[in-house]
Amino acid sequence: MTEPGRGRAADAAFLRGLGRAAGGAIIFALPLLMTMEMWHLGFYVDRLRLALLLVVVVPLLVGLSHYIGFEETFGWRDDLVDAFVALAVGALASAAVLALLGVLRAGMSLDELVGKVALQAVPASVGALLAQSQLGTAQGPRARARRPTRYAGELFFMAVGALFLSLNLAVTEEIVIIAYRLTDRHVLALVAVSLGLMHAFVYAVEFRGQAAVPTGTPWWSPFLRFTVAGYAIVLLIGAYTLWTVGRLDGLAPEQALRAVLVLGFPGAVGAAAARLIL
Amino acid sequence: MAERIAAVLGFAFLVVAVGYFLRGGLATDDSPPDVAVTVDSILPQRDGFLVEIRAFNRGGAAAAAVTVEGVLRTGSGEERAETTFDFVPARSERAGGLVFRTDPRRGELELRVLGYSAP
Repeated sequence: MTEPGRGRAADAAFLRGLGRAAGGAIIFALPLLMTMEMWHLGFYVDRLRLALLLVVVVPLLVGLSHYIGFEETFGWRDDLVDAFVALAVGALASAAVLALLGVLRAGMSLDELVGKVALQAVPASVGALLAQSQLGTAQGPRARARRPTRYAGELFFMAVGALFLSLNLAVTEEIVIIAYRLTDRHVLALVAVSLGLMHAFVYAVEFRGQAAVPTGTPWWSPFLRFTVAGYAIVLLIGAYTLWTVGRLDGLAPEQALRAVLVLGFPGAVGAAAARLIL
Repeated sequence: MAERIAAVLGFAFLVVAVGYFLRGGLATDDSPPDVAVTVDSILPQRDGFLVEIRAFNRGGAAAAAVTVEGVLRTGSGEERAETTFDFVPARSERAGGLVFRTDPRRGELELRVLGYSAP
């Protein structure tokens, strides 16, 4: 910022990025912004769990910014700045849309208002960061290219995808209702389909030219390295999101496990698709 | 410059929200829901009289499916009306209405919470 002209140009570029981030926040969070359970969870979800979720999302945003941010980043400090920018955009966009929809209004306690906005800010800030990879195609060849990723990066993408879809569905009552209704055979079939879908995506990633699976590798190697490891992450994240929104409270362990496995289906799709899309 | 301002905003949001939730979560206010109902206004309508009511929960926990009953006692007898609030969060209020055939201003109206369920 030594030259004022350059500073202004950088600010203008940043403001364009902010607009794109706000767009991404709204697109990705709109289904949840218009989900009744999210409004209710905003005031009755356990406060300590909500605080933990907000803290957990920061390293996630930093990681996302590292791989795909709305600015080309240099070093972890830039990534940290980007993460907080995404959080600000996510919170403001959520508050604006909730107010527009009449979900935030006078007569509500501060606790309710802050709770509603904070809960929505989590998916919205992820959306704000993803906006670069999904909407930022006008920036030339660099915009579509993410950093080359190693194994840990692939697992990280799976975690982000799983968290995003899990959060979208864990808040709904349907996950637990489906878990009640399914027979044991249904649950086993769901697990098999989840694993099958994830494994199919391993090859889809390969088609995209990333050579996740070098030729000559036996089939079980990527199955264990990506599919099984990814599914384990999916189930852990599913359990974490269900616990956060209180859906596991008071459930027998066996019923809780069923709910986690049911949520594992969309979580697996999200995890697998994230590797392909991000 | 703009980026730093936005980042500071985001950081401030995180600190304030987390601090706020920690305070709320660690506070010992685990008192049960405590919902009281008051009359806002009484309006004559085509089919009777609308009593606009307001439920305020001053307890430390949210209440779901809060059932409210209004009993109107007049010289000619008793009339009942009831409604259910889906949710009344802690220290928040929700508005609703009860409809009576007779004019509540010409009798004695008693409002009462019948029960709730935990969300």
